Amino acid sequence: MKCRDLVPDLVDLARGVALEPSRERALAGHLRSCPSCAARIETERAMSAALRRLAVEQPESRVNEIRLGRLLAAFDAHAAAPQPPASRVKLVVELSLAASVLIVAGLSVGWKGDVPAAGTSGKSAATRPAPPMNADSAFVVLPGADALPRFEHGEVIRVEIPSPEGSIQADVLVGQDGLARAVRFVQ
Amino acid sequence: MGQPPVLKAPDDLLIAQIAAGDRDAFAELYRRHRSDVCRFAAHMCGSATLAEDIVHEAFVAVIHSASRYRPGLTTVKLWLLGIARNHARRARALRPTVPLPDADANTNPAQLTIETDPVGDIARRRHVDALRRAVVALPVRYREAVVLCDLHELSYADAAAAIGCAIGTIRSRLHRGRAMLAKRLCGGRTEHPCPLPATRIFS
Repeated sequence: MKCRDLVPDLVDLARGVALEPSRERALAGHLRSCPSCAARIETERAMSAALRRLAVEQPESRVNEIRLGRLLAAFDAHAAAPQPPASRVKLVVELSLAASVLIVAGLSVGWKGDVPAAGTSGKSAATRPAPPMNADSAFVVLPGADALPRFEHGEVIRVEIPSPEGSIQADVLVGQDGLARAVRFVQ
Repeated sequence: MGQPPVLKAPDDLLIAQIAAGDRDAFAELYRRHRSDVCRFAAHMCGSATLAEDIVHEAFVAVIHSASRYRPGLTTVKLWLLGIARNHARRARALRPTVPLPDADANTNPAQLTIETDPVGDIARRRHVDALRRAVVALPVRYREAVVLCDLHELSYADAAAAIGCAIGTIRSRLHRGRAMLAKRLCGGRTEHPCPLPATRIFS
């Protein structure tokens, strides 16, 4: 086995992470016969010790009652503010959930371009890759999306949701993690 | 007379109470987790002042997002660190990054060994400062991994949950980040063991 193949285990061992017994035995055997890796693990151990020291040396800041007071004022203001209409929130949440389901469905067929056309499912909704940006409305960030990890790339997916007045079309912006971030209504 | 219930409530219950408008629960959550969030923010951005701002913004986000916290999917601490992480990224985007420590001028390995500095405390402080600067100068994805796994001692699984990535991703980022730190602190040398600041001070 080459040295570079063992580096991840070597680093883990230096950090005190438990390895599988077989991997630990293999690494121990390698370290006995490889001066370079034996020296490398000493460097990694020194790095771990230095980082532990840095963690300890970070000054412990005490609770700032003034800052807490500002936060409590923000808390009170939020509690006093009128909440958005429940029906609108419910619609957006349902749209988000529907989009997530459709994304999973899309992934399960491998995105081969043979996603069922709109309306062919006959059940809750259907999806297809969004056509070029021709919708008039702007994207609206979904509730909670700003608390999600920042997405690095995403995809816009058009969904259709049945409603009493007919289907509603919307574009859903989905991050690389499969979570819906924003929506805009097309119709 | 016992303590108010909020002081004994588990984190998940505190969040539920916050979502229901309980300001005492919010204050307790703040007191309970502020230190961890502040340490994380300080390690990420290298500025105590900026870290305080990030803590504030993170807890403001808690006010607005408490109802969307889902127990069982993560822990409150990891959820808070994830929020702080997003705010730290935004904060950094608006500010110049801390310049990389110059390996040739400031972190000469020969100057970082204790033998060359008779005043141990000064040397140790210099070493810690050099390491702190090197951590802050790491690219963000590697810095997050180092801060969460090595400075906060989170498991790979917990760090991955806080960041929202795969366990293998966090592991490889940590290893890469440590290699970058070692290279920086060893003055670009590639042989091992290199004269890390910590080699003789902390081991």
